[in-house]
Amino acid sequence: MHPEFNIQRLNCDVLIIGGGAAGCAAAHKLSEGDYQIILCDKAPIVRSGCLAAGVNAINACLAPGYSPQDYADYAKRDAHGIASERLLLSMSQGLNEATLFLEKLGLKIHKGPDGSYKYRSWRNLIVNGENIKPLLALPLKDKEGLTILERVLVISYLVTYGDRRVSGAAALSIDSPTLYFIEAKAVICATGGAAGIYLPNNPGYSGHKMWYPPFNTGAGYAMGILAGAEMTTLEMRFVALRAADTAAPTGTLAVGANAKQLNILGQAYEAKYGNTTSQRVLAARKEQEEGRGPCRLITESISLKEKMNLVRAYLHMAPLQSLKFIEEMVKDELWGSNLSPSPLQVTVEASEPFVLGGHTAGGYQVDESRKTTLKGLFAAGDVAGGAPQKYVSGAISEGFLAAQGVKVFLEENLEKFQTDASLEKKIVKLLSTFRANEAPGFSTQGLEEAMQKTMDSLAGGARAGYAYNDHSLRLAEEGILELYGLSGKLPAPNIRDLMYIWELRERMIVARSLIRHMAARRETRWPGFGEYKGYPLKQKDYELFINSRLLLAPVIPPLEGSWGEIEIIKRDLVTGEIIEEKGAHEHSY
Amino acid sequence: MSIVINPSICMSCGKCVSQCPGNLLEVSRNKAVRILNPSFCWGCAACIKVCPQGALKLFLPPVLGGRGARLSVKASKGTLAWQVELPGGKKINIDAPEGEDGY
Repeated sequence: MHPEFNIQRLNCDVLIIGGGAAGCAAAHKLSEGDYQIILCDKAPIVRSGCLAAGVNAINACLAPGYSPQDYADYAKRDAHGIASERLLLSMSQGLNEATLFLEKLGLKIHKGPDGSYKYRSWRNLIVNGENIKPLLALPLKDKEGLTILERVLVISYLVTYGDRRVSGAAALSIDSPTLYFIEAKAVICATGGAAGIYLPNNPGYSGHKMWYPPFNTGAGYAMGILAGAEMTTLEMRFVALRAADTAAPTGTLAVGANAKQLNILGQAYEAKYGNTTSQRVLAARKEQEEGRGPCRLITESISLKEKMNLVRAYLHMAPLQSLKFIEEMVKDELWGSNLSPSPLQVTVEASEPFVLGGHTAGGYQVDESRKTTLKGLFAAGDVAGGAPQKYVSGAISEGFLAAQGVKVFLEENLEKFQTDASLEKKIVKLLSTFRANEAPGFSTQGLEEAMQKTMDSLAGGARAGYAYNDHSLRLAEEGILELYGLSGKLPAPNIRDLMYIWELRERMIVARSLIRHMAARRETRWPGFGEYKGYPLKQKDYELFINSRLLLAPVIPPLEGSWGEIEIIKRDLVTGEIIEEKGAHEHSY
Repeated sequence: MSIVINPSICMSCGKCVSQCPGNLLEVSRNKAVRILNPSFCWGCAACIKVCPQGALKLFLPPVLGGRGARLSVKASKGTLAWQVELPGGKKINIDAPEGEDGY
């Protein structure tokens, strides 16, 4: 009834985990050299990751006259100081190269009559980017030396005996019970951030209509945490201010069509809250809380032709929003008559919290070459911490940096290494246990909902007004650990069940570290993203990075029970040096 | 779920299966493609863009404001010809040419 896994062993120079913007960029760069590369993705890379639906802007680039320092300054200010200037600078230096790279691949960037880019703002270009992901991914299929494994779930790093060099990863095909053990001289993690840790804004059936890809389940974070990598700034959760229902971006209306953001009384309210991302989220939330919501983005009265131009722009990135515009126009009977120009509007709404290092700064602690704290492991894109406001071009820039970092690493590290053979047995045993489990009276989906509700109510989700306190965080961690214990009993009659169980457990592992990070930052720095009750203000003492690391990291997650103690490390914002290491035994709440 | 599949015109070619970022589509021999776990769909529209038959259409669930309109798309000459079909049968064509739409 439960066939054994068909085990395949592969070898390469570089393993890239995740074929989104960062992973594809790294693969492009490395395939210029003479390397054997394997790129793994959970889905087909043609549409996997954040770019599935497309984009209609390059949101991180530098107009003439602007420097990487300008972008780094902007991103750091937006993060209320908690970002690494060095990481931001190295990323920003590659933004225009990334933009050019995309254009060379065929991305249609809007230009003026003289052939120069048409900037929407100093760091923002308009593109027809419905096809950005195929443009980025498909040329990789012809690269020599590059093997692409699609529809495989990477489940764990492999590490060496002793010094814990990351030496590859284990991956499971979702189409057959094939288990890959891939050994690599260097690994780039580019799995993206984590969605689905909190209860989604939209109910059950539409729960996956969210801002971030629901298929990004924090795999890279979880694997890194379990292998003992240092993580940074997870507590800087991201809450997106988006079109209600569809979670479509609002920039096209606000910046492109000059729409005004108004509360229900018709007042422009944003200015009094400030202009950083978290302040803008706070603005909409507070107006709502205080009875002046819902808040809307409303254009001037515009013609049907102009409306259809906006519908068209949204088809490049959020087709459901285009459909919603049409549905609303139908309701206004616009299609039956010749109405005079009228405004187009969307309700704006704060999303559920997400964890990612692309908009905010949560992820692996890395250096400028995107090297993590584990030897042999690099991280790029949303899974890499410390450098917010990446968007697609920043993720590509980081993919290039990681590729370069790997090249140097491979030149400097020629010694032989030996992967810890016991990991393989542990993985097979763990997977086989799920395959053999009997139905326990609850389901994977049931535990997922329980996890999301726990996080939502106790760790600052939307329904808790994004607020939390010492006690609620402690209860949240207890809840997550209990649910994780139960998850060890889940049955996986087929491989897909195994994938869903694995993804759920990944999110629980991320959730626990997230809770510890939130508890360790005893202040409220980004009130739009979350409010620590009892510590309502920004504190000078917390102008530092909150990092964490698992002590006695098990690499392979235990079936049940805790996966280890979490140590909090404080690092200097500028130098990155350790200021304080707090033993895991010390109570951190 | 955000897509409807018309089984009478689906040719089971599997093109959509190899696009879905959530691995949610499946084709079994001689049968129309089907969506596994409909509630897992992100609504990205990758699948409807490659369907040569127009057998897949995107819709907005009622809870998100949908009232029965369906979006489909045909690729031709490097551009996408989108179409919204309203509940009464009226069709609205939205060409998204390579040209610039100003936003």
